[in-house]
Amino acid sequence: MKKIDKLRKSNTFKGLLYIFPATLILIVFKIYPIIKSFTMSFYTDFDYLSGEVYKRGLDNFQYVLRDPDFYLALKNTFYFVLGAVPLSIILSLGFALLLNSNIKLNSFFRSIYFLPFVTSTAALAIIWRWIFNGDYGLANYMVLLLGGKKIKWLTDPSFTIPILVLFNVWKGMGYKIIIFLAGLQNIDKKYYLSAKIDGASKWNIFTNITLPLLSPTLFFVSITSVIGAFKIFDEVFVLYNTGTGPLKSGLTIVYYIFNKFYRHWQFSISAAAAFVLFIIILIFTLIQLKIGKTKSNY
Amino acid sequence: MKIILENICKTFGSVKAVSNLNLEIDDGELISILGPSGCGKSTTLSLIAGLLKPDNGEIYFGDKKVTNIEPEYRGIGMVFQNYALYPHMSVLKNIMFPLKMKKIHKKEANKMAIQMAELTKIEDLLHRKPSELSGGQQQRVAIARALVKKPEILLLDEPLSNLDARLRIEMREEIRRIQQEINITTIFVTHDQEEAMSISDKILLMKDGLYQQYTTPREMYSNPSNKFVARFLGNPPINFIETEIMYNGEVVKLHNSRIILNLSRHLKGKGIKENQVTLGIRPEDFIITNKDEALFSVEVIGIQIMGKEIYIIANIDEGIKVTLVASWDFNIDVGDRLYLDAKNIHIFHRGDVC
Repeated sequence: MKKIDKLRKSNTFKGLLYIFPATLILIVFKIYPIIKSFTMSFYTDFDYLSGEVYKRGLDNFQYVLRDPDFYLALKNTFYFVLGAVPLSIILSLGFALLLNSNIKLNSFFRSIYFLPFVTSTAALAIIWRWIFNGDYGLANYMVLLLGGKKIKWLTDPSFTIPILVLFNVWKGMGYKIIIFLAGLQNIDKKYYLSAKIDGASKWNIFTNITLPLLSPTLFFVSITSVIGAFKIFDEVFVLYNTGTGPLKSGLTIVYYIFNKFYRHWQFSISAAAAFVLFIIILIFTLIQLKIGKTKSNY
Repeated sequence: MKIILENICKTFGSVKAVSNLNLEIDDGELISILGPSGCGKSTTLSLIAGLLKPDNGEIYFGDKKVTNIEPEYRGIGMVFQNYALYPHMSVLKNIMFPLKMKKIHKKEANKMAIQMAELTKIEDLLHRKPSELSGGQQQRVAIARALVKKPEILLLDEPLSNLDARLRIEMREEIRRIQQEINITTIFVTHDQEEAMSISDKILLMKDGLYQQYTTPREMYSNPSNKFVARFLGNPPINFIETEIMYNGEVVKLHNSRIILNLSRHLKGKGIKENQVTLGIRPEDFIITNKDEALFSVEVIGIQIMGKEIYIIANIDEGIKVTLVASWDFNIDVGDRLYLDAKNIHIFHRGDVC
């Protein structure tokens, strides 16, 4: 018995040794900053350079939760999430279904859809800025061609979130299509044949067989999409030339955090805002996990 | 429902999966489509189901031509090899699925599903998921689901190949019982000759997409139409002995040997017309006898003990081996000389391939 215990102990030690390098990196660059920024959100009076803290309290949270800019950022972000997540899931699922039905040039289309995902956001944003340019952009060219009037895409605040949604959906579609395709290809073709013989129509097969069997993939994509969408920042930053769009219409939560940190040097307030965002994302993820557990258990 | 296949052809690329198949299945019969893998038996089943369309030929169910009718309108139930039970639905929901697609009222559907579950003896498992069932139970659910919409034809694609040996015997009897209880025309695809012979009214034997023989198991075993059929049925397989006719269509000389056999007793007046024939003797048709009544003598070169019987591998002459089945009563050792007669000798063309 003692021998086995000893062996187990030495094995545990060996195991720890193996994961040590990765753990070290994670602790230094992920876990420590998370804890640090959490504690920092309670600093009300401190010396940034020496790290000395004179006073702690809830003032930062009070400030954030009273700041109209923060509420604007919340509103904008929620609009964005509400638009981008369902649209991107529906569109990429649709394209994945098309690609899965063995159409010609299958892999060609797959590569095309994947391209935006592997291209840098900055480069893509430049193209989009050109497309939506009010004077010589492609979008307005089309509008004129169809007999409409020029639209101020990038300077009209009501277009900011829709354009960001479009941009984000288009950019992330390739990745989601690949994930959905993998999920679809995991479904045994026999189910479709069997359902067909049982008299199911194409729509019946989709709702009764494909969707439920795809639900694990669907929940994975929806959780990662929601998290990703809440963190939107670089699209705004590059599309609106490091600004927040007309009339702050593109001010998102992460942009708010960024502003507080880099532009206003209010580190503890930005930490508090980051913590609020963390709580929001956590709540949404927990809700989705709960739904996922009840809906996809087989 | 009576099923008729007329000159059915199906090719995949350059491979002829089914060529020129004609078949008539009577109402209420259970027939097996038997053959080695790649013989076109599953293709034939898919053609009957409508999952594939034939390149040529017609399919009739009763008097109705169904060649171009989609599977869902053919009135068939099908059980797939790995059952294809929907993993996210309970057993009850699985069985009810075809009824749901027919938009039958839920209460009515529930009643019909429970009836089917009783027929297939799974009424205790209705609320389990397929992953919580054993192979045999999944099989029963698949059959219940196939039968619940009261089809006129039941198609089974290698339904037993995923089960272990004991369960296979139990389930094939169950399939036969259920089939006879509701008297449904059933087509059963298998590569296992024992399975096919034990439950079928008739067997269709195929090879490389070609019809070989279609008859009752007994007739197919005792009167195989060619060497392939003879060899495919029976375990251990039939012995083939190549011969040349010497005299009168009754005396033959073994090929590549000087041994001469007089078959006058065995042929009973049916003289052999050809010059070169293959004799087929089933291992169990050999009789160990004395020197005077023997057809030939052999030297034992190997013995396999199989349990209820023993297989003896023996040499007639250099390079001419036969296998025979004997009971435990004989005390035989390797190297012994045995005198053999045969109860039954099949005659085949030498040219036949098998």
